[in-house]
Amino acid sequence: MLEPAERGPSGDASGPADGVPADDTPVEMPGSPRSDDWQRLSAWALLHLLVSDILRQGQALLFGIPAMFGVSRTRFDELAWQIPIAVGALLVASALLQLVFTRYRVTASAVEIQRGALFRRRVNLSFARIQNVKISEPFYLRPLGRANLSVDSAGSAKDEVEIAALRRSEAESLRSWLGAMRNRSLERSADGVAVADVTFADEGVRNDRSGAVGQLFFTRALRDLVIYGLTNNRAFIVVAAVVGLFWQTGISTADIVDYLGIDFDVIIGGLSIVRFVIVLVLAFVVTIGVLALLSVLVSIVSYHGFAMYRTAERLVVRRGLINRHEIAVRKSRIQTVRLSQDWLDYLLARRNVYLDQLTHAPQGHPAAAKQVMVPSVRLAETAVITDEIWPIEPVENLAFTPLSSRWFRKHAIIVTLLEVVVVSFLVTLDRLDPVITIAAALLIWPALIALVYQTWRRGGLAVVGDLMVARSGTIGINYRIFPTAKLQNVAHVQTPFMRRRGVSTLVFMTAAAKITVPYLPREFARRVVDYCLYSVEARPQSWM
Amino acid sequence: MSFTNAQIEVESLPEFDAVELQRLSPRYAPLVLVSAGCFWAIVALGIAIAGMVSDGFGSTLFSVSALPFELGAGVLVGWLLWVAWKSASVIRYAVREHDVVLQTGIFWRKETIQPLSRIQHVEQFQGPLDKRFGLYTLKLFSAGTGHVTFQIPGLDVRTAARLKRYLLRRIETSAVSQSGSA
Repeated sequence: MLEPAERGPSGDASGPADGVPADDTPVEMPGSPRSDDWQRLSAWALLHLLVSDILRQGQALLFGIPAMFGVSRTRFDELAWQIPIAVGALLVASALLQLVFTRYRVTASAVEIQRGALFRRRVNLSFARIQNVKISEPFYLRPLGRANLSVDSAGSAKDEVEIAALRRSEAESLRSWLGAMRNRSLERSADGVAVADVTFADEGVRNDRSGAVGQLFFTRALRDLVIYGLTNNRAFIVVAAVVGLFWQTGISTADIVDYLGIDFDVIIGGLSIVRFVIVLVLAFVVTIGVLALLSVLVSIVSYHGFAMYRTAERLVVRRGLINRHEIAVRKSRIQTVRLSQDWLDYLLARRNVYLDQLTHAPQGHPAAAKQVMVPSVRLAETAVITDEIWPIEPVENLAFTPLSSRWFRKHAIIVTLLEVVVVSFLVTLDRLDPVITIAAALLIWPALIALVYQTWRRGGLAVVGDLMVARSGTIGINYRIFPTAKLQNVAHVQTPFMRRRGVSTLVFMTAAAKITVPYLPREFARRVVDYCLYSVEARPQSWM
Repeated sequence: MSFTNAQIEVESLPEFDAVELQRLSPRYAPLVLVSAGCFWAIVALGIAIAGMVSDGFGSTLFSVSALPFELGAGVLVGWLLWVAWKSASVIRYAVREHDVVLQTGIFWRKETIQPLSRIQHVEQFQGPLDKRFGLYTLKLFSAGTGHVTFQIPGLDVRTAARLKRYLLRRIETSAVSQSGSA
């Protein structure tokens, strides 16, 4: 254990006291796994590489089936069987290449892995950043007595080091050694405490040992869910899926219409213009109605019985009618709180509250389903939720630094130009009466400009102590709340025009999302950047 | 440790844009030009081959009336190559005690500041063309998003190694000096 007095100003915390040199020359530790030169993977890793490649490319490979089917229908039908063989050969070759060109080693301060021949990529994962060391035994490695060791950190998904097909005993000794090295590194670094008690893979369905999840403090009634269903286009997901299905099976809408026995020519041919328009409008209304109903149904199924519980450290959300979900979120993991409100929400004085965590789980990954969203919250109720995470006065009352009027000017011009282009295009097509087209365009223009104006007025940034609040929106107002301590990096963007006008754009990067606030006064923007950097760098706080 | 809550004079904070920015290796801009040039050469070759193989496409491609379009395309590609070269030569970086500053962009001039305490890991990358020019790219990964938000290209071997070593050392001991003296 190192005393504070031994820590030098350069941060070289490892003196002769524990015999670990601070540079990254490989080191032989007593009782450690062999950690010297670059080591290769064992031949059995080929199996694992092949399987994980197949799984990863699974979706793409599935297209091979209709491809085979298609080819077998042409005159090249003998070649159809060669497709899977070719694909298989490619996969094996790729796995072989990966096997040959992957090396790993464990140095005094990090575990490194190097892959690739043409594009050589070396990943260096220092011990202090290790979150989890996991041993997994896939069924095809288990009979061989081998396992995969994966080391991941709290960073991006790419910084995971996976050493495939180690002998089981090797994997276990490496794991305990890495764990010990991690703990030793943590003792040296100031944010070690927060990093140490996070186990990354624990999100999700888990109850406390006692079975209690905390104090109930927020629920949603059926009425709220109906409103949420109406104000959100979740129905489009269903519709898109159905349409996608149909498209893949090759049935066209014409086939459906024929099947239903509707003959459009007869119907439309007999109608006058007025009736035709009425039929069209009715059809539109019915479609919207059906979509709305679908949306409400989906909302009820997903969020029925919504209940949020709190403890000092966690929030737990339970919801769902058919599949009951239980999502546990450690409060410290929340990166930003997003208050989102579209135009319908605005009319009904409601908003949806999103508690955003790390997002490097790609879409569709199980972790993505664990996003915490509180649907259809009344404006006055918002504080009940935000107070649990970062107490802040009601966002409506904050003083926001507005966007420069240059932003409005620029976008008003862009919108106008776009409209001119579209109208010219339509006029040249010569399908519609040019007079009507231009008249319609002139009528629409003020509405478009009004929307641009509203979007400009909605934009802004407020600094409230350690919290930043970015405001945006067109009709509905969206707020993005995040503490400066959660920032990963910050960027300042300016074009030559902006420089002349004294405005700049700020881009805040948190672990959950990128937040852009454009066209802020330059002096204010600069001070915000310097303050954010000070906040992150001078006061060591963990963002997890 | 006694608790203090001193007022922060925002005006006296260090300014991120007061740094002295360093250039990349002079070999980097040519490298980008060469790689962009290769890309467009391949595209042009592909189109030419397609023109030679297919009769219909070939007759339009090699006809006189297509010439102005082809010249236009040539000018466009020339401009794109210039943009690639210029954006590469405009990149600057600086290393401070607690963060790294990267300046990129010709028209959209962007300064990204990456605090050292937020770097998860550092990756040293070298593509096949980079190898010919003896250059490396350092990629700094911070949490979330899954893709690189900060990379310094065009570093020669020594600079890359020194910078990486410095960053790795600073990452491990990110805020020790503050807490050690508290």
